Amino acid sequence: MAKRLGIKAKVRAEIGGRRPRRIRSSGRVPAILYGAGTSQALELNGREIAEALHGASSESVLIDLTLESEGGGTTKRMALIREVQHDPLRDTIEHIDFHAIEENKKLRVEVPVHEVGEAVGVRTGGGILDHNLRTLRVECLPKDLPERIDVDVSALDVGQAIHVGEVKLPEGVTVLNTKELPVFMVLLPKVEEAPTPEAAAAAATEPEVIRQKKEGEEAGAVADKGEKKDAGKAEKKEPAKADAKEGAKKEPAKK
Amino acid sequence: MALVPKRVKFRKTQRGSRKGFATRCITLAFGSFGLQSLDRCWLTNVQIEAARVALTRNMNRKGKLWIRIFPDKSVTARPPETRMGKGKGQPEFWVAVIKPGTILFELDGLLEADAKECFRLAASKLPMATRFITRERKLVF
Repeated sequence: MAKRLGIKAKVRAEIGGRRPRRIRSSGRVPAILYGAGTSQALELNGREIAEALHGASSESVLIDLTLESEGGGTTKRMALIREVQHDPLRDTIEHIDFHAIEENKKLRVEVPVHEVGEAVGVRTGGGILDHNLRTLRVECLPKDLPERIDVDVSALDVGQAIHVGEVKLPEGVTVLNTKELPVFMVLLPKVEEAPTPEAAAAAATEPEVIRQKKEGEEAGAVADKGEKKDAGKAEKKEPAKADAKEGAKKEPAKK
Repeated sequence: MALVPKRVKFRKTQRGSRKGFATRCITLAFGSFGLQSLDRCWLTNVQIEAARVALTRNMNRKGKLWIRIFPDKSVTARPPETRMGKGKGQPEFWVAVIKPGTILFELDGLLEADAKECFRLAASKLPMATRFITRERKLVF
C-alpha cells in the first residue's frame, strides 16, 4: 500500500501576478488543491515537501493535507500528487498540484513499474532489458493504492516479454492499460552497420525541397526556370560590370 | 547515417533566437540516464555524430541509445574571397538549436557507472557544459 505523508499547507487568498515568485523567494512553494468540488490555492514549506518527495519512491503517494485557513481554523483533506513542476536546471520545486480524493471513491492513477531480479537473457544471452512501459494506469480505492508494482523479470530470455495482462497486481487493483502491451522485453542490441558507399553518397546530397501541392509539377518547372534565369542574369551582369571597370581604367589613358 | 533532414520546406533559414531556457525535451522520456545541456549553442550534425560514435564505442554492444536532438536548421556561408552582396550564401552545414536544460542523449540497459563514463566521453566531443542526470533526481528547495 502507498505511503501516507502528512503535510501542512496554508490556504492563500492572493493568487496570480508576481505573488507565486514572492512565495518561492520566502522559502515556500505555491500549490493548488482541486477535485471533489474544491479548488484552493495553497502554500507549503519548501524543505518539508522536498524531503517528503525524496523519501517517496514515486509521486503516487497519498497525502494527508492539513489546511490552515487565514482565520486560524484547520481542515483535513486526503489528496494525491498530480504534478510536481520543477526547474530543469536547478531541480527546485516550482509548483505542486494536489488532487483531492475521497476515501470510498475509486481513483485512477499512474503507478510506476519496477523490475525485480536480472533477466536470464541479460545475464547469459547478452540481451538488453527494454522498459516498454514505466508506469501502469490502475484503478483502485485509496486504501489499496500501491506505491509501486514489482515485476519479477528473472525468467525472461532473449525475445521474450512480460505483457500487461501477465503482471501480478495487489488485491483490489485493476489495470486499465491494454492487456497485450509489453511491459518488459529482452532484446538483442542492434549492431551498427558500416555505411555503404551508396548510402554515404546519398547522405552527402542536399535534402529535397518540398514544393506546394497545388502548383504541382508546373510550379517545379517554373521554379527551375526562375533559378536558371537568376543564374543567367548573374552571369550576364558580371561580364558587363567587368567591361565597365575596364572602360573606366582605359578612359584616363586616352587623355 | 548522416544527420541531415530528408525533405525541407526551405533550403535556407534565418538565424533565429537562442534566448530563454528549454521548455521541451527537458525530462527523461526513454532511458534511465541522460546527458543534459547547461549552455546554449548551435550543435552541428558533425558534433552530434562524434558524440554518438563516442557513446556507442564505449557501450560495448550493451545498452540502448536515444538521440533526442536533430539538426534541422541549415547554416549558410559565403565562399572564401567573395565580395559582399549577390545574395545569401549556400547551405554549408546543419545545426540543432540547444538551450539550457535540453536533454541531448538518453541511455538504458547499462549500470550507472558505465553510463556515466559513456556520457563523460561523449561530453568531451560537445562544445558546451553538460551534466549527467538519472530518473531518481533529487528535488531540492
